[in-house]
Amino acid sequence: MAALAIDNISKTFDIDGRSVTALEAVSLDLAPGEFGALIGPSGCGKSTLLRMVADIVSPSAGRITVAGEAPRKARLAHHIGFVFQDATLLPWRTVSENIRLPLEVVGGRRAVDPAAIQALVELVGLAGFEHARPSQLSGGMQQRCAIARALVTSPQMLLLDEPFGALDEIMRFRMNLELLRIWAESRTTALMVTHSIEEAVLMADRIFVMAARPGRIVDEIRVDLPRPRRLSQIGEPDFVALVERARKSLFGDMVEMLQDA
Amino acid sequence: MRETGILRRGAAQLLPPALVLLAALLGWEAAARAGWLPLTVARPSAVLRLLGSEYGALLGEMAPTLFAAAWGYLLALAVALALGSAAYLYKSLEGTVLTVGAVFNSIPIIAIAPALIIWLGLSLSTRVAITAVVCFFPLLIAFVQGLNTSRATTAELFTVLAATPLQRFRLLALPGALPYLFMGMKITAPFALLGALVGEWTGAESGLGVVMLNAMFGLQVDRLWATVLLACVVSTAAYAYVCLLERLTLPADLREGEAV
Amino acid sequence: MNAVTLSKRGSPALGAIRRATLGRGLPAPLRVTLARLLNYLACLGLALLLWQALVSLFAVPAYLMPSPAQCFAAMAKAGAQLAGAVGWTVFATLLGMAISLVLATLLAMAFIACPLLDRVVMPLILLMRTVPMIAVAPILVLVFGREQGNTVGMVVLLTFFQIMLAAKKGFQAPSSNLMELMHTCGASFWQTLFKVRLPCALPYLFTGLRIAAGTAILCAMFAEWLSGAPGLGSLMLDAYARQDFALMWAAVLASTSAAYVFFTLTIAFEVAVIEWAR
Repeated sequence: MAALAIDNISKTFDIDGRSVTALEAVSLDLAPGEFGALIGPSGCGKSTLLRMVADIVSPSAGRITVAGEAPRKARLAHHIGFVFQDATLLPWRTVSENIRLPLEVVGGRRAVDPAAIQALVELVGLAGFEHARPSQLSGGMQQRCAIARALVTSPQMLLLDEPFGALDEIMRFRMNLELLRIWAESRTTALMVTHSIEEAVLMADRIFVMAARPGRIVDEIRVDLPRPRRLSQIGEPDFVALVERARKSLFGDMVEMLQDA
Repeated sequence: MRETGILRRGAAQLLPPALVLLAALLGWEAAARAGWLPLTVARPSAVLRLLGSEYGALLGEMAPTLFAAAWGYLLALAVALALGSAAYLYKSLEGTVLTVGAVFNSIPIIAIAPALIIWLGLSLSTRVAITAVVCFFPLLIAFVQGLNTSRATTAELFTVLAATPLQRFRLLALPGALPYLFMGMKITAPFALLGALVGEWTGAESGLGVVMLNAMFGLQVDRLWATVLLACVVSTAAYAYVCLLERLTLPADLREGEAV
Repeated sequence: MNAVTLSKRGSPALGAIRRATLGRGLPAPLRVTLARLLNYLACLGLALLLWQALVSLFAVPAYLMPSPAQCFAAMAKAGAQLAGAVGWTVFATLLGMAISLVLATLLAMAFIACPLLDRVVMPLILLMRTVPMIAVAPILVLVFGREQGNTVGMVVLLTFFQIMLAAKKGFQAPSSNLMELMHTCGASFWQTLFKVRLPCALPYLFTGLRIAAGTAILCAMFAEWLSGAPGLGSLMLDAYARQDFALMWAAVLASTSAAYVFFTLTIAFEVAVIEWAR
């Protein structure tokens, strides 16, 4: 049974009386424990797709199943963890308090096990910052807190919407490796939206390349690189080949145009 | 070492304006003595002398005014919090609450005061009611604005967490509304004294407003300026008090708006 | 440069644009005005019905609460007087706001031109802002007597600080990048002022005007009430003193409507500016 099955999803929006097709006949699936990446140009609907899996937006047509359930059921059962592009931490709560927010929503303040929270704090590398508030943390640290928060309910599906998009390149690579380390501990099924091809190849088991207008999947690339992934793999031939293939799919006929120029 | 640094910086900030104020007052006094100012403008020295000599009596007169102001403000705050929360939890009510509030806010205080006196009679509780009506809408609007402020992604987060509306209210809206509420409370604090004064001007037996009005009609220039000064001092003190409350409740990075 | 989006978060103008769903074809300011006025009329209609119901059901004596019919009769009888009073009040408010706008903008420019003045005088101005200017009204009455100078003076006093702070914020709004650009172009202080600071300040100025306008007209009425200067305020007091409650309530209705319309127009004005800037 697939952990995530997206079956022929379409989405149209009504803007100012016109209907805009954001997604058309999108299908993909992920096996349990797989890490998937969605890359595509802006406007291809990848963030919308992610939000449909999380039951924040509903599809116009098609079906999504998350670990055998409809997204709504999965969401209400707290089986989904979501990491946003901006950390979306509550500014009046400390790091620990932010991390345990999902648990408070599930079962009230008494349902929170401080030891479990502390373990997560240490897992994401924020030991010593338990009582710091978001304004005292850097962008990378805030995202680590957000990741911990997404994992606190031991979700069956982890969704990430360009989590490191706001960070500079050096920080981004560091966070990628951190996320890989953290993810290796829980091995949740994960789907990440990114606009960086290298990030996708470094992190994922499968990459889904999308095109825009209308949003659709144009290629699916299986990344067979050995885990645990390392920064040193970036220069290696099989890594580069995968990046090239993804780039070709992403740019489509633009590549020919650029070659002629 | 740190304390003296703060003191020195505080002094550096306060000293220049304080000196300017002092200079302005001295200039005023000199102009008045030279006979340049109309008789209706009191001399600072005369005002201070009056305050010094009638200190006790004036404070006594202020008691009912302060009572009406304080209780009216608290009543308005309680009702604003209740209605604001209801408007948030039951979205259909929001439009109605805000429209009714906006209309009420357009009713001039000079109409509200006599109306309430006609209906409720001449008593201290009427003046509490007048103050409450005056303070209500700004508090409500600040609170409702604060409750509805949250980033789109934070709202989505709470959707993913499958939070109930009550949980959204308790964990997201309420804490997020505090900075805005305090902003509203700061702006409204001086209005409380105003409501009490207008209530007294419309009809009362005692209070600072009565003293003010008598001084105005009796052309007792020094007394009028003295009582107005007292009113100003009290309203500034109320504002400062709310600022202090905010400083104690909210950490620095969550406070909105300028500090005095 | 979309400086307009910098204006105060959650302004009623933006909320009003969102809520005004009728008349999609009309320009936004008209739509907003229509929506708010219709809202108000609906509210008023409901209130009048309730009022009539209360009065008839409980046989309330006329001195406690005259019926709507009696009020409208009083309104018709004193129509010219009411209209005249509205005219006085609105005129004084507009004049006061105009004077306030000029003075406030000049002072804000002075603060920008001379940082020393800023550092020294600003704290005093912030202090004065916490004082409800209306408490100072009796002093104005003493100084101006029963003249309309009272009304205009009160409006100026009340609106001055709000507009000045908004103007100052607006003048300081251009980003440091923009200011550096002007500096490298060799622009003088005055050129920078008129080419960059003034356009940037406009949205903030309008926000300040909107906030000030809301209370300006009520403040004018208050000044009239206290001093006896001509206008709605003194009309109301007069009617109250003569126990002509029907007229008093008619004046209340007129003044509430005037204030609401005034406020609505300032929102519509701001909406127009936002639309134009888009």
